[in-house]
Amino acid sequence: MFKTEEMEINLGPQHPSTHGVLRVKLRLDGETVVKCTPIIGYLHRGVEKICEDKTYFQGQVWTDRMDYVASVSNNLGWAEGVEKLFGITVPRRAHYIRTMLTELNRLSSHLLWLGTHALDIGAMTVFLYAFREREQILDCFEAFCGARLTTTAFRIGGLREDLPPGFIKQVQAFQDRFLDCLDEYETLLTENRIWKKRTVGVALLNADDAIALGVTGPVLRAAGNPYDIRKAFPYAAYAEMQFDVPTRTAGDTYARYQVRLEEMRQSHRIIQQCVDGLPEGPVMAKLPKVLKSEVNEVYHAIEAPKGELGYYFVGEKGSQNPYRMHVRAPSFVNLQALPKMTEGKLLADVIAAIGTLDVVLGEVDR
Amino acid sequence: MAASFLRTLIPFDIYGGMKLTGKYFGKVFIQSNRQKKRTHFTAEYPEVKVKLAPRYRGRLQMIKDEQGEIKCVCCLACEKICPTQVITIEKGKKEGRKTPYPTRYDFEMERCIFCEFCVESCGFDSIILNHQFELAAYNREDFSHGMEGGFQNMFDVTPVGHYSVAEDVQ
Amino acid sequence: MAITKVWIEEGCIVCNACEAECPDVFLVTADSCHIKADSRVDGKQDENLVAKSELKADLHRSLEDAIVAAAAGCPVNVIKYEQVANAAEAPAAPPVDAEIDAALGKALGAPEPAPSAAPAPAAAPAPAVVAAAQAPEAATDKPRITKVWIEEGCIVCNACEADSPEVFRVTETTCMIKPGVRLDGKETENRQEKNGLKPEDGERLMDSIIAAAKGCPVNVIKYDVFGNVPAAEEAPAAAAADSGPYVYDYKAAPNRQVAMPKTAPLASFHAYEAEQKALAEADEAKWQKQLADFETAKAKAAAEGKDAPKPPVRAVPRKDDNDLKFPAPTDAKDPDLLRLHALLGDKVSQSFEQAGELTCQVHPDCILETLMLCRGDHELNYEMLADQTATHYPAAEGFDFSIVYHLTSIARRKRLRLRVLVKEGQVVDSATQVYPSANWMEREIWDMLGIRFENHPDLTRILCPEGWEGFPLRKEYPTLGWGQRDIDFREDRAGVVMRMAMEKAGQMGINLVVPKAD
Repeated sequence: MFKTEEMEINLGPQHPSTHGVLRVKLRLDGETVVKCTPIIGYLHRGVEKICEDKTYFQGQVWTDRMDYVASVSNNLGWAEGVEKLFGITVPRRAHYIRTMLTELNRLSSHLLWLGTHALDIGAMTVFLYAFREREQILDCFEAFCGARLTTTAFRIGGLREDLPPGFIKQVQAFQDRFLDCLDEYETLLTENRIWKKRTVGVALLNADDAIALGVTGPVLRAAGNPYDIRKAFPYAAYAEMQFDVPTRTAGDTYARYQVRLEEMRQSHRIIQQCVDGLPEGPVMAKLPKVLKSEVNEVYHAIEAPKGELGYYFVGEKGSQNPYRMHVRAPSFVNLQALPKMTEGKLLADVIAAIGTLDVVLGEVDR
Repeated sequence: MAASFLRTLIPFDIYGGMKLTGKYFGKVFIQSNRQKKRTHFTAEYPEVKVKLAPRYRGRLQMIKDEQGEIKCVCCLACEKICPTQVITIEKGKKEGRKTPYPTRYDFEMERCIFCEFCVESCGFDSIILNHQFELAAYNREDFSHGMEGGFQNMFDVTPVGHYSVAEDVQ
Repeated sequence: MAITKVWIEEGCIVCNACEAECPDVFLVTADSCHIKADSRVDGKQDENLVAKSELKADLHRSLEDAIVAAAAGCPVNVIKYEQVANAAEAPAAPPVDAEIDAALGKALGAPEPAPSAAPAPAAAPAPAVVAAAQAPEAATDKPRITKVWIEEGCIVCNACEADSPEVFRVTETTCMIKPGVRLDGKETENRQEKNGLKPEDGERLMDSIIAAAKGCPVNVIKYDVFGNVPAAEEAPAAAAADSGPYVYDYKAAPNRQVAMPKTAPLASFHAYEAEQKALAEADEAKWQKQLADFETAKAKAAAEGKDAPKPPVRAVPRKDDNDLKFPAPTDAKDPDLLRLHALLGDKVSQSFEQAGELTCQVHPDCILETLMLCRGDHELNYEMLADQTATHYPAAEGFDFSIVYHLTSIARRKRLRLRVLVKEGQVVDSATQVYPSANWMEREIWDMLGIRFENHPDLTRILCPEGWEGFPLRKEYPTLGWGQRDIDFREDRAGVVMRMAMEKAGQMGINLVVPKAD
């Protein structure tokens, strides 16, 4: 009697809950998603091509602009990748400071995720609290390297300068109140009935699918696989740190929320260990003025807030520029799982799925 | 079973959230309004300037020594290291000065990414990134800075936009 | 080519850069940089600015690259050298010098050379001069530009001077044809008299003049051509005419040509071994020659009754005092690589370890088999394809691209890199059947490098829009965008480009108002 027809709609590229310029083509049967096709590339700037023309020293500034909410992690990946390519030994103090800043950055990225994800789903208040703490972290970055977002924090072989006076005090002041703040977020969300209705059982992804699709980071850990590069292939000073890898087995949006909150607690632990055990010594390795590579090929991956961030370098003999630079962006690979998570589910859950994947489009498109 | 039913019946979660909001409301209401004690994290920006960190990276600025002489000796290190090639230097000579003298030092702020590599590479401490952070302008010319005598010069802060209150230049 | 003399001008900032590049010649002291005594004929050690003593003959060629690199790397450009095409020929002016002199003269506001003074091509790079010197006989019947002149309406935009600085000089009101290239040696717009160009310049500078004429925003540069312009020059001209002056033409502007890589840096244990062996052999041969020379010298001295010469000392490689240690490749010892080798046999081209990473290069036909093995074999058990990417090697022989697969074994905490070398146009089996995560990565490789994969579910462009021309990450793809007009904003201090944009907007009927700051 009634004729039904499938409808195709576009979510984005200009939509507040796609976190940038992601366009998702959705085929709908009523309110159920039949087919979901993410379309990307609106923010493509050719970072890999640009870096082929720049020296190893200069290329770092483009990594700031890939994942712009976690630029320190991106800097760390670049610096450590180049150090692996050249075989540079970095002083221990530099490793500790790098670890501390990267963990602060993980906090800032997770806080931004928490605020915006909750805002997408409908919880307005958390956004304000999360951004309050994020500001304090950004103040720490500003004190250390002079910029809040595009940090360019590290140098090949170590750091540009030692910590500024009063920096440890600033970080400690943040550390002292951060756990209470985490409890506040939990008060607002964890037992909140609306939050649970919108997240429990939504955007399911089990561990086998996640591994097959290359999904890493909190999304994989929420599905039950404790794969964390900080533990599996320790870099920087993580081998000396005591921390746990939180996992959940549910593999839904709520589990990812719990994993990320627990990760923030672990980051807090790591920062405290860095602050307490900060060794003395130089912060920069002894390097020749001009770095010229030999023929070499490296892949160096670090655990960015979003997942496995890998840098692939090909060095040309006698050249100051990388012959080829490739970024394995966690958001790019994680976004592949979006159709798997949303097909057959409701339209409103697509928003939750995009938010829970925690994609940053600057990194997806590069 | 009964506990979860009770939890759905009695709004503990809403109570917890309202309690948190009420706590902060009360704190600000009493401390800030009555006792005039600063408890908030925001700044009333255009009227109240934020104090920037000493390492803050603002606009590129050339500095002079005590004699009012330009420190730059045209070694072109900043021009070479700049990732976006925004610095153009022409080398020249000046009477009564041994070292080379920049007859032209152009800085195109529109493409500058404020990475401070130039300052880092300078062996003569002749340039700094100052603390100016309001850098918007109406015309493209406002973004290209040159030597003295031009429309915008490298020695003063830009007329449009504010300079930071943190005067401590490193 | 060889370098006969090298000296340091005034103004050294003692930065050690030259010593890092070429420690055999330069020695940085507390306040200046010296040319070492053992490298000089006169045996003194100073800046060599006054004496201009020659380098020792055996260093002329061997240290040429290092000296050139040191001179280029000098932050204040005080390292000067004399370079000759052949050691027997007269030394030609070093190109760096001429450029700097020209720049200095310009910067100091010196008047351009008068018609009677030195000809303008003095500012030209030396190779061009050499080419011109060889060309004249053959030049007569080749296509060349006979005349060039400027019509009325020049907007003084400097575009022509950027394209062809030897021919055009932009003054405050108009653009001039330089005297050095003209038969009558005057400097005017050449509009009335239409004086001819010198034949050799007309041929040599043809490309740059055509580029300048095309790049002129108001099209006032006109020229007469003798003979047929090559067809390759005609096609872009037509394209440029179609799409208006805002399309930048790469072929016409030689300074925007893409520099193709000269080497194919493929990490390999065999190549590294061979290179090390050759170096050791060369070192040994040098030492044997030194010994033999010493023996003959000793015999000669003994015969003549003089004192015996000093015995030679074997040169020890300079030890760098830094934290840099190149991770050299080593032979495969890891059980995973050995197992892959045992299972696949001859299909593995090479396997080695470098910087703690395992690399296994297999034949492209059996990549799917290898991936299935890596995933399915209980001892290998690589569950996840972390990354897949490709690299373009235009200078390589026998292959054009390398595709690398980075596999991760989560359970065993191991990484493995598989590598295949493919030719242009070769189709590779898609990894999506084994690892679904290869889906987008292979789309990205197709989008960026143009390698096709068989049995891929949806091999379309992913980052670039459909219908994009070319593959951006290939080495021949230019970094400057297609269709981007070459505006040098450094020259736009007077707002010429802004004015042009306003005029264009006016012609299109758009009323642009420039807001003014209060």
